[in-house]
Amino acid sequence: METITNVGMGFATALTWANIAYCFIGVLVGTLIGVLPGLGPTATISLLLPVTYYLDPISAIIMLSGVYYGAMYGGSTTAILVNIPGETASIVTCLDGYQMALQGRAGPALGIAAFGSFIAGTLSVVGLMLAAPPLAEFGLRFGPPEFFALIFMAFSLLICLAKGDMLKAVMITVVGVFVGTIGIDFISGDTRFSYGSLTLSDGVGIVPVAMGLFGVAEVLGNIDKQEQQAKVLKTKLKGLLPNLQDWKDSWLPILRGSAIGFFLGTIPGGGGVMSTFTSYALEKKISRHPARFGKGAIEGVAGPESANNASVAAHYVPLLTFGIPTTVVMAIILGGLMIHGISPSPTFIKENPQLFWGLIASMYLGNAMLLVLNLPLIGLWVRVLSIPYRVLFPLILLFCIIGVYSLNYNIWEVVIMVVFGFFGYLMRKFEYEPAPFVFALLLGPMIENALRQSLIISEGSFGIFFTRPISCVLMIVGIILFIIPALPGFKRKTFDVAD
Amino acid sequence: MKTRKGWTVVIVGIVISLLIGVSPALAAAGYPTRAIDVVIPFGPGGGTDLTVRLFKDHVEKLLGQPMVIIYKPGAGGVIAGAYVKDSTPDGYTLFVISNTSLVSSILARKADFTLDDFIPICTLTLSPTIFAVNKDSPYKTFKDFTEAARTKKMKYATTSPFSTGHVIIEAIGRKEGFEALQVPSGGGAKAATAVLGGHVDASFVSPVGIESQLRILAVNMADRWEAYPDVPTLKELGYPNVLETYFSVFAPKGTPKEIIDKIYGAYKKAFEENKEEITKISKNTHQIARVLSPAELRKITRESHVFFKDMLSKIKASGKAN
Repeated sequence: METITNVGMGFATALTWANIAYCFIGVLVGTLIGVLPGLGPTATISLLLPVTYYLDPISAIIMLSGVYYGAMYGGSTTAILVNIPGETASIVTCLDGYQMALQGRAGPALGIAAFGSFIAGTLSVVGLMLAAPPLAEFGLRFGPPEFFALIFMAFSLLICLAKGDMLKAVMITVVGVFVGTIGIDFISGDTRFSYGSLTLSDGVGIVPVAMGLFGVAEVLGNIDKQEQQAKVLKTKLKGLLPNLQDWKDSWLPILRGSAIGFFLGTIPGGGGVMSTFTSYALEKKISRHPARFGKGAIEGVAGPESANNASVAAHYVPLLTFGIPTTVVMAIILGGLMIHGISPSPTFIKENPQLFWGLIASMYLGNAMLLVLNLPLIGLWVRVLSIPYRVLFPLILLFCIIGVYSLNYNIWEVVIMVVFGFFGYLMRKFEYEPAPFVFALLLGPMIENALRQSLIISEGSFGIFFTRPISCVLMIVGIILFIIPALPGFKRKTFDVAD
Repeated sequence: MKTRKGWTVVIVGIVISLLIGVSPALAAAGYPTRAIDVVIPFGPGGGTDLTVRLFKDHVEKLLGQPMVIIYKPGAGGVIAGAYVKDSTPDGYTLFVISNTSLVSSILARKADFTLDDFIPICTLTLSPTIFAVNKDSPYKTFKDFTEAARTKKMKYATTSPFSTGHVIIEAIGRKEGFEALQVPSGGGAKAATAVLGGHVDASFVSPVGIESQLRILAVNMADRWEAYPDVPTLKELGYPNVLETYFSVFAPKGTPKEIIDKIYGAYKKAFEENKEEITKISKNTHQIARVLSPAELRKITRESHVFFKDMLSKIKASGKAN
């Protein structure tokens, strides 16, 4: 009962004209920036941070959250239309979303992404409302050993991302892990493989790599087979919204994706990329037609997109309960809160009910606004595909360059992007997939750091992964997932090409 | 016609060269005439960012030109430092970094620059380093911890190897006769979270807000911290206080003295005129606003350098890289 009064109070706070306006601005700006490849919520929020000093804390956090949601959704638009992830979490959406666009089904893809995000966002806000403190406690129990086990499990799922040859997927994953080692190792302070270059000593950034492997390589690949491609993309658009069959296929993935995104989002490092990729792998594993994945399966868009949005609300769980920021964006929002003198703690929710519930209410609002804003725009976005290549491709390259340069104002990162563009082009020619590489690049350093921190804590004993309950469970699941593909009965299912 | 044109060119040429020749002085007199870049070695939302923003609006008004924050994160300050070192010393590029990060970058991270590449301008805030344990931990005082550390190998979270926390514990450990294991966690919030979750015995990082849920055993400052008046300083506990962390402003070597003085003057005035507001907000971000002069900053930086160098050689000699 108390919850309902609180929600009511929250809506009263959120539904003032001023706050509605801030929410709208946030969502609008977020979507626009999210659509531009490379520019993501981080850049936007840090730009808007000074503006929020003049607002009261509630309005400030409402606006910043709107930006976050908007950017998450905007990122999937370019992923679907032109195979460029608007930000790292949208990489998974490229896999099937772009294939759908090539089949003339960009509309349904965008539509299911919008609806899925809305449903997931709403469900996760409910979750945040009801279970924030216990969830935060749970998240706190994830120390380095649990984290290692989680990523170990993720690596076993990584194989699932491969459409074709397993061996090639493993090979490219290993290369990805290697590239991930470049840079400063924060545990020992040594620099690896940087050859004296300042840029490399900071590591090979995932954004230049993703832009290169997905964006630049895609453009190069298309120029290569220009005539064929032209015919495919100009295929008649089969409707702008998901049809009944699409909904039938998608509703469960949406629910599962929401759950995955929400739970993983409460763990530091678990939101965004991890949740989308786990959702995709899960959908593929439990699907009756796994071979459809990678060729335009709508579940491959519905699940990850829902997971993505659900994780946004989940990020607030550790932030508002303990003041722990789990992503860069949350750290910036925390900075904004601190400036206003607000210090999150376990009693925060009780001491600042207006802020907390106002935020919750505005999240509902934000999700609804996103849907209303984006559905009509689908028709417009889809028209982008009919822009002639000689205009579209240079524009794509231009946006990629601007996006990457705007990160750190470092021209060498643009060079890295171009290098990986060529590398990605070659990968396509030889049929190696980019997705496992990017995830290995991301997860490799994470698993290494988690492993080493765990071993420091255990003073060298590997038993630590099995003596702690959570990590033990995750390790066993991971080991099982690794072993299953090697079992005889399994091979048939994954290599099933007929569909 | 030709001759007149020729003479005009020559005269204009002479005037321009004279102007260029005297421009440093002119520049100083007219400084600033365009936006000033403030380079920080971390990303947006962090302590450095918030500190710069604390003063930015007020200083902008006093100098009459906007200040643009440039984020150059990476390698704990190495990338930002290299960028500033190579920039033109005309006063339009400033560097805000803590003395400890600067010294650590030079000594531990093999940066391409030295202390002499930067001219100290002033400090902005003092950032305490706090030693915290979990509320359920058996250690109620710092002494409990150091005594227990002699028999049990303690694990404490820091941001990175050779960070303030690491180096100080190494120094204390040598004095008290214990060896503790450093668990680098890559960030202040991550370190505090590790203690909160019970994964390590203690953390020794700059405050991030989470500490209110931990038990703080000591602060690394000359005087007690207002926010936690019951917590003793390391100095009181008998350890020399040589490594206070100050977020400070530097300029590349070669920047004219007049410009340095002008910048210091602006920051000092900004602080004095808006003392209440700045002090309040800095408290919210767990820092203590304190604007010290170039000479004082130089002293602080050199002392940090000496302390670090000494500790570094000791740590390396004992064969422990982490």
